[in-house]
Amino acid sequence: MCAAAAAAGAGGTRSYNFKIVLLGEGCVGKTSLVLRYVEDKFNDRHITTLQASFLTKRINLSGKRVNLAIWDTAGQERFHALGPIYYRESHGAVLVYDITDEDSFQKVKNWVRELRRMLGNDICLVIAGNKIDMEKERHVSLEEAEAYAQEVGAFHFQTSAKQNKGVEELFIELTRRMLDNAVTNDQQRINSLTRGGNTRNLQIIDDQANLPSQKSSCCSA
Amino acid sequence: MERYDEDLGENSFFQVLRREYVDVLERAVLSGWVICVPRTGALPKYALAKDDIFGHILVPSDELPETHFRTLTDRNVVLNGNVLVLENKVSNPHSVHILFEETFYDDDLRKYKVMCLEDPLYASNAFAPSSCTDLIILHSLRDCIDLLWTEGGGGKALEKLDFLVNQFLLRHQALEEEGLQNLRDLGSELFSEAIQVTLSEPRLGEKTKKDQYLLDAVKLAVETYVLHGVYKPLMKGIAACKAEDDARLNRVIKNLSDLQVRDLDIDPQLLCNLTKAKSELASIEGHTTPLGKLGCLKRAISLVAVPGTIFSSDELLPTLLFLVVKANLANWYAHVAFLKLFRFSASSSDSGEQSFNISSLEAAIEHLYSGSLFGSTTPEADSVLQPGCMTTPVLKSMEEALGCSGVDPMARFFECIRLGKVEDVKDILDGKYKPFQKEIESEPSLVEADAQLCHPLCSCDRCEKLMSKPKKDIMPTVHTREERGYTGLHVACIFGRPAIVDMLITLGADLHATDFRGATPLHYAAQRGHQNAVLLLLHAGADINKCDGDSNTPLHLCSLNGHVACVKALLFYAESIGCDIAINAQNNVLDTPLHLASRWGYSAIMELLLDRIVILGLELNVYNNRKLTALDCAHNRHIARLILDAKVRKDELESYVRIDLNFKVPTDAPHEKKLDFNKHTENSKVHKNINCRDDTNRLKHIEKLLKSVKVGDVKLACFYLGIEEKTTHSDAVSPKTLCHPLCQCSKCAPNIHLNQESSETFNTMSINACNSDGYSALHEAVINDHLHLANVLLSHGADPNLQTFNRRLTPLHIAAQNCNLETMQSLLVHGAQVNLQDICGNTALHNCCAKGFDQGVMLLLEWKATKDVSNLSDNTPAQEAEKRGHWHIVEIIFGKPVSY
Repeated sequence: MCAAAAAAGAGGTRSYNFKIVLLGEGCVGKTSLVLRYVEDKFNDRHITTLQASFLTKRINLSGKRVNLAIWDTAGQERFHALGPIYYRESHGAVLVYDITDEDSFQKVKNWVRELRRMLGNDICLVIAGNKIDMEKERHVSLEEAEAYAQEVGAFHFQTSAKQNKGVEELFIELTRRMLDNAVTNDQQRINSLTRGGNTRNLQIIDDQANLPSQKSSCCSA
Repeated sequence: MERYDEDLGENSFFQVLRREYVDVLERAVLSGWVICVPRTGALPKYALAKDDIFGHILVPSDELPETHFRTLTDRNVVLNGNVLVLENKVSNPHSVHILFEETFYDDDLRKYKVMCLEDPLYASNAFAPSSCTDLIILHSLRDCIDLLWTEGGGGKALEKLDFLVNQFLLRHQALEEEGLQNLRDLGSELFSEAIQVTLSEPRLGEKTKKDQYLLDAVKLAVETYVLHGVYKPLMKGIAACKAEDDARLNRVIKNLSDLQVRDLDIDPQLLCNLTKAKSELASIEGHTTPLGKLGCLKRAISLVAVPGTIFSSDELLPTLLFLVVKANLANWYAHVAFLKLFRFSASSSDSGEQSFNISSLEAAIEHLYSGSLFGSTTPEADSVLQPGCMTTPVLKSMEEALGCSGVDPMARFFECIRLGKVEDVKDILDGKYKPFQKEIESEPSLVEADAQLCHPLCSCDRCEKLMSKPKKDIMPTVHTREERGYTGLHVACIFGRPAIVDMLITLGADLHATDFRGATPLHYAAQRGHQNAVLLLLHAGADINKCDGDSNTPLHLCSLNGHVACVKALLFYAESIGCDIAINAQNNVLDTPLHLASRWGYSAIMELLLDRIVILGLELNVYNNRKLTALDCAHNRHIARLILDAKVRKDELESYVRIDLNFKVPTDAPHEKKLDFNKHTENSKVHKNINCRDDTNRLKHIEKLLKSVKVGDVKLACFYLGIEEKTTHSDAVSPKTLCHPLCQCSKCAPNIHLNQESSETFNTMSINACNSDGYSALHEAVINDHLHLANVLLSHGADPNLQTFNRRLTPLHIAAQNCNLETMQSLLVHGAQVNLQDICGNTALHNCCAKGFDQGVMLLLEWKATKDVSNLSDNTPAQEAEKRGHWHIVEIIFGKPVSY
């Protein structure tokens, strides 16, 4: 089975399984963000037991079936070293910072650096500036964040899990980009393939070629 | 296959809806209607009517749009968790499980939500036959067997799988000795064969071609069934591969046994279910398949999550850490490896919930293993956890319990001990601690507080305050106890402050004071791995075999926590001082220290304990209260091997000792006779040695000494003999020149060694002690060609002329026999007599000649060896050489060419 897909029954359309890892300091609202997206809830009193560290969401984007598995990570600094156990083999990462907390943005930068080093360009990155409902206390300027995102080839979104702003857009855009990645990967595999292995390493090298196109797509976003 | 999945694009119900009810879909997009679709296997067979479709369209209500709906056929539906409940007017409500939700987006990102249902919500023709098959969900091995039975032609598939498993076990009998990669390859090979065999059943083969979900289910069932069949040897193999990691992890876990939730900042709300979750997680060991183990893990995690809270990774990871520590399992790494590598039915890029749970467990274990758990939370931990110094970390909860903030002299006293402030502790005990004195001066009124109460029983605010102030005139002493019964000595041992331990002992602290658990300071020092403190207490006379409230001896505690250094300290101290340490002591569950070390996989401790058990001839097969021996407790073959080897050694030694004992009485008598035979031997010396042999205990000690000599362990041999390794005596530095009593700096370290040896009354053996055959350490060193060791022995006065009892060999004989020129030189320099004869009348020269060892012959002649001694066969050395054709030797002896 290849990196992103399992063919559904005979003649069925392909379905894609994507793993998304959620990174960021504690208290930036990672969990709220994903809960808002998957369950459309925010610190709701109606919430029954919610195992929010692992959530799935199925979407169908213009006929493409996509299964998102969203892995939340512990935000505490002392667990930082455990990151690789969570982010290995993920297709996308959502890096969340709190716009009122400069430090949390620095943490995002650290994660970006680490992810690029460990996974190359194989992973799609989205940076989320959360808590825009607290615009008055903003400490990270939008321009700075967007410039940084562009520089590292990531999207940047401003979100508010509380007011449900930008959350769905963020995940849809991330999914689109992971789909593009998977499709080009499949294409390249078909072109170059004689035997069906799933060597991710090969793909990383191949991906270097289409990095510019990805970048331009992110700028337009 | 964790959850049901199907491509709704292929679902005929959804196809009809999308083809024929475009306007409804349009409304759904605009008004946020929810569309329900029964799963393919549960669709009615007849052509779908309008009501069938409309009965599956949910319109959210105005007040509670998230949970309350009305269908287009005007029925009320309530969403409750993942169940839809259709309210009926007369009969009971009809509830249907939601299998999954899918959100459909069109190109303009307009969306509508679809719920796939296990059964139809509404059927217009309720009596029509439906094609409904039960949804397969596999939770346990039982479910898997059921599936394989029903789908695999009534037991045929199971029989074939059984055959495969048996074949596999026969072919790979040494499964436990394979490497991890090999194990995985073998398992994966077995799995693919098993799948082939199962799908060769024609009916099942056809069915799975059409039904991806069924295929996945069959794969999982086959994996579960087959792995269950080979689990035992497979797991043993994995455990052996992961033995080292597991042992190290166990050390960390055991040393965290005092861990409390607040050390991990776990939300106290989560507490209530932790115990249940813990036993759930611990049962992971009893499951034999990935399916079963993952079920455990999932249940444990969901048990912790308390209703009404959001359980995010921020809470999940610390909670898992806590559960792992408390679950009392011995091979976490092996379990994780099993889960990671042997889920053949899951795709390699699986990122589902099971995979997440495994990763979380792995993360928790890695975090524990790394030991960084307390790196940041407690600053003091850094100083305690120095690299190489493996002691128990200090937990936050413990520090808090020992009252950190105190103007109260008691609290201050214990805090100073905890922090290792030697001077302050001393001042407090002497009543000269400055902060206390200042306070007393600044509040002189307090001294006569009693007098200032309004009346003797007054409880007004002011008087209460006065009374509640600690009385400064009660100063702590070495006997003061805090609320858990710790004395200062306890605290110093817990936190590893040897300097304070030393001081408190000199000040007369009670060595055998017990806290509420019945533990003495020695228990704590051993439990927490503070070797210095252990030695200090032992030297001061602490009882080495004292039991705490759970009948654990100090040896139990350091064996449990994996502190090799402390085990060594206890064993060697007991041996050197000659006191009896109860190695096979049993605690209240009848575990011996060996049981504990075996269960948690500490091989180094195992070796130490086994060695002692073998030498002292103790029982190896002690049973605990569950009728298990230490061997039964072993979790991997490395540990089992150690015990089995020890058994063999013990049997050998026992048979040997038995013969010796029988032989002892007669050996004395013939000996005296043999002495006549050798006129030159110094009788007195032999006598002395014979006298040494009297007690068997002594014999055992000598055997140990000889064994250490045999393997060339100079240090150990010296230890046994109570001598220094150096061949020449250096100027002994007086112990008083140490920087401080426990200093271990490079300058002091060698002196400490000296110091210890001089101060301890070592009950060491005489350097010329010999075993029942008359072999001394020097003999053994020469036999095994350990020149350095021989030199050490000789420089400490080992007698080079000792003869063995039966063959009357001197070390020189042996060296000559072995052609060891250097050894011979050493022996001769140290006064070996050159002409002693063995039982056959041979001198060393005879031996050299027989061997054709020309250099040896020359050396002996230099030392004036007599050329014309005849042995019992009436041959002189020259004749011996001649007999064997060593003509050059003959020439050397006669100093001229010989003609033949």
